Amino acid sequence: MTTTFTKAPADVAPAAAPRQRRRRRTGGPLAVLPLLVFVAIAFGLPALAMLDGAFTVKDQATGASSYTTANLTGSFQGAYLTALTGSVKLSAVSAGLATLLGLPLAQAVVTSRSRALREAVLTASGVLANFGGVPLAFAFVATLGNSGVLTRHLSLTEHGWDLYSFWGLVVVYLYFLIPLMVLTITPALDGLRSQWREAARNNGATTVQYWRHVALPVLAPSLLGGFVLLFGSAFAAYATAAAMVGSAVPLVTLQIADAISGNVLVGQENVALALSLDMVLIAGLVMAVYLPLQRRSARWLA
Amino acid sequence: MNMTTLATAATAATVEFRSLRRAFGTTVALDGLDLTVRPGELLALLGPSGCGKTTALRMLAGFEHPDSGEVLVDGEDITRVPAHRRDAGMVFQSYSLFPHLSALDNVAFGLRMRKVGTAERRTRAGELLDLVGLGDKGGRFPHQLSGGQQQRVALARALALRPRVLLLDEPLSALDAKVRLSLREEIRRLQLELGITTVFVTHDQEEALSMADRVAVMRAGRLEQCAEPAELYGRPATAFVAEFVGTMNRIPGTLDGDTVSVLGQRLPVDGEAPGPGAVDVLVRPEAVRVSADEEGDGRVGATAFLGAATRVTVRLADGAEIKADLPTHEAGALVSGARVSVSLPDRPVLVAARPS
Amino acid sequence: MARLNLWRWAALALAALYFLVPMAASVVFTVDVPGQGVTLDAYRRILSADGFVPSLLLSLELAAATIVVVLLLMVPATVALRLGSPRLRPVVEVVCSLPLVVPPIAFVAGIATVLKWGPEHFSRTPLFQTFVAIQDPDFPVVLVLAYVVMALPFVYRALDAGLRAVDVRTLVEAARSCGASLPRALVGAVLPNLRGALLNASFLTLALVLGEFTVASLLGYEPFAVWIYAVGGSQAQMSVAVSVLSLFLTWALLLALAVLGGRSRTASASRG
Repeated sequence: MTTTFTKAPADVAPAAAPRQRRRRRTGGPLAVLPLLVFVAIAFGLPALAMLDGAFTVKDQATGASSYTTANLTGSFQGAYLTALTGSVKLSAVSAGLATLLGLPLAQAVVTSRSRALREAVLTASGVLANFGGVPLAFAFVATLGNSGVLTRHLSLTEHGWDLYSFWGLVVVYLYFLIPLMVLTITPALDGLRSQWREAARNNGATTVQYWRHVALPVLAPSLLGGFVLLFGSAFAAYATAAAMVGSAVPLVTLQIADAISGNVLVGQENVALALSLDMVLIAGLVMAVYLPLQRRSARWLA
Repeated sequence: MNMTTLATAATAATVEFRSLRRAFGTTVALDGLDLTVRPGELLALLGPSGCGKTTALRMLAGFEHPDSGEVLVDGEDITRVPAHRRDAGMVFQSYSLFPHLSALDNVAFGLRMRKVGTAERRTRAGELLDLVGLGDKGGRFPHQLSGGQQQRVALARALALRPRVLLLDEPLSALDAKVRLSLREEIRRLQLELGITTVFVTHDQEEALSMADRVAVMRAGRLEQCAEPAELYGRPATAFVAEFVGTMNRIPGTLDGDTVSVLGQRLPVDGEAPGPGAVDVLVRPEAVRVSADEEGDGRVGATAFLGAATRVTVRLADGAEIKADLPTHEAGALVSGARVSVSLPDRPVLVAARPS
Repeated sequence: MARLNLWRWAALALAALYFLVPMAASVVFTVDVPGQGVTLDAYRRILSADGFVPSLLLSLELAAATIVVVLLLMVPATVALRLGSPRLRPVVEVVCSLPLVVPPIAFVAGIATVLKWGPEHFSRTPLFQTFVAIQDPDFPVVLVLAYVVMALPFVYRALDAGLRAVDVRTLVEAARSCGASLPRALVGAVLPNLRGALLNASFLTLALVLGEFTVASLLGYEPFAVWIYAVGGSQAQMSVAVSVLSLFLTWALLLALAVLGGRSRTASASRG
């Protein structure tokens, strides 16, 4: 879509073509070059180092390194495997919940006629979606931690509440995932045309049928894309978990941090890099799912 | 032969709007609309934007509800029937096809809602696509179809449930001029074949006049006139209709009893006349006669070539401008600046109060 | 209609409850100390706390440097894409999305490995000095490098959205037909129209750097977020107080952005 669109002006104005071609050859690449060089150094080097290290072991006796898949195999065993599955489970559950909860909230905002409400919720979402990390962890410790305000006043501990657990982390993650979902899905909801609802009604569909046969299928790519984005966001989160649970909940990010800090068995120094590579592969998979979905929904809702 | 299976459920329906009123906040969209659509006719609702024509159509579809008044189909009050149980197929202005469904599935959507079996609804949807000339495009998705094709699919979809009334909400306004013309003819052909009562909303008078059996001109939520195109054009009931439909000259004149003196002629007045005194006489450009005349008190201002006819703008000595459509071969001599005399045929004319 | 409003208000009320309670509770937590009653002591102690000022300053300096670098890299690149290098567009798009595929923790694992190369492989070469310089604890350039990479996706999206709203090619051609040189056309006609997008990109970068914990803590530096974490171990009240303050600071920044960028946003809204 994009390429045909950008090419169009050249087709209708052939006289301008030579000038554009010249500019394309000189100005464009020159302006993009610094960016590419920078990324090659600041991003490419660490990425290569990670890739290289993930497949390298250093012989303790001789100091010589050799290529192997032992690190990768090791990263799928024992505590590391537990951490990987723990991370995947936590991310999937919190992203799924955030998707389910974010959709009605976004719909409530989109269908509201109040512009102020819409602006307020979207602005707040923008702030909250970026409000991860240490401050978020501490805010929840103060609220629902062992000596948190709500915990004390509602005696939550006696009801079996524990913030420093899997579900505790889910509750905290929702705090930035739901706003992220609202931000992601709002444009899609805005793109739902009133004609579709009316055409569906006109063809005999009830409100429920409209949602089941039109709105949800049309939103599906956006919803799935949003879920995948949220999954990636939760999967990569480290600061919140580190500040909150220490290592009470096994997560791959916590394992990597542990390993980088030198807290590993001899001969497994590079397992951290192998684990990082695992994360990159999963995140890459996430992107590979997300991008086509995004493209499809853009085509439908444009 | 498709016609037998596709023909509408029974005989065509009568639609009545009875003193419909609707206000959005302080804007009055409908201010007591009374209108009857006869069985099997194509009625165009014509008017400037904001005149309430779309609101009236959407009330018939069930998307708007009147503050007072009622909508009747075959004498039955449907004002309180929800939109999804009304027997009215609607074609929207644009972008109304479901983007995730193929053309065929779009057409079959209503049948699916009615729990019609897969095989039957595919057959019927296929027939309907054939009917609009898109039998081979059933597998295409809306974004793979041109604007005109999309509207054809929307038309097929609107007909899928064999509605008693077909509603068209400016279905051509988003299309290119050429596509608009061909689709206009096609809609009319289909409508005549199916004999379905049709209400067509448009702001394009040419579209309304060329397609409709009758045209209802609306203004500020009220009906100005509802008549056949020829009558609407030739005998507009009000000055608003006269000026909204086609091009109309306003020529200064003086009213005296039931005659008016204009351009040195004395002509009988047609229809209702305002009080005596200064009035405007309303004349179509093709009724104005212009001839080269060294003694004439008019001068040719501009000429515009329209094909078979040429529109000549004449400026009179008193400053009034008159447009006249002359056969192009006669207009050849009338170059800009030439002196001419202007006259009207000896027929009754419409007059309107002169706007102050 | 009434039913429709009911579920909407229920959804909004529940959301408000979930999002406001932790903030309110945090404030209560910091001012209502068991045994001491209501006191603002926690907030009073922040300013005099060990490390507060240096860590905040470090974060702000890092943020400023990151914003400058990322804009210098991205603005020319994205404008050039609009002006006549559509073929490079997918390249830049992919390059700017790559950081999304590498979570910060994996990124920092890679950075730590590269930094180890310095002493291991280059200790006898002039390159070693570079390794030392970028790790200067007073101003760790390596963090700026990392943050610029991490900010690329957000900055790209913000600038791209801004550029989509203005027709850069027409703007430049109009300015040039009025006699402006290409650089003047870019600075005089394009950049002012990008004000909203630039502010947006800057804000996102600022928020990212101020809140960034992973890379800084694992490389052993102590900017603001790491400091809050360190304080949290010993002084719970104060760490929550700082968290609350940092949230309000973010709100204030965003409001300022909304006010500054308001005009351009309403302009693009009326277009739609």
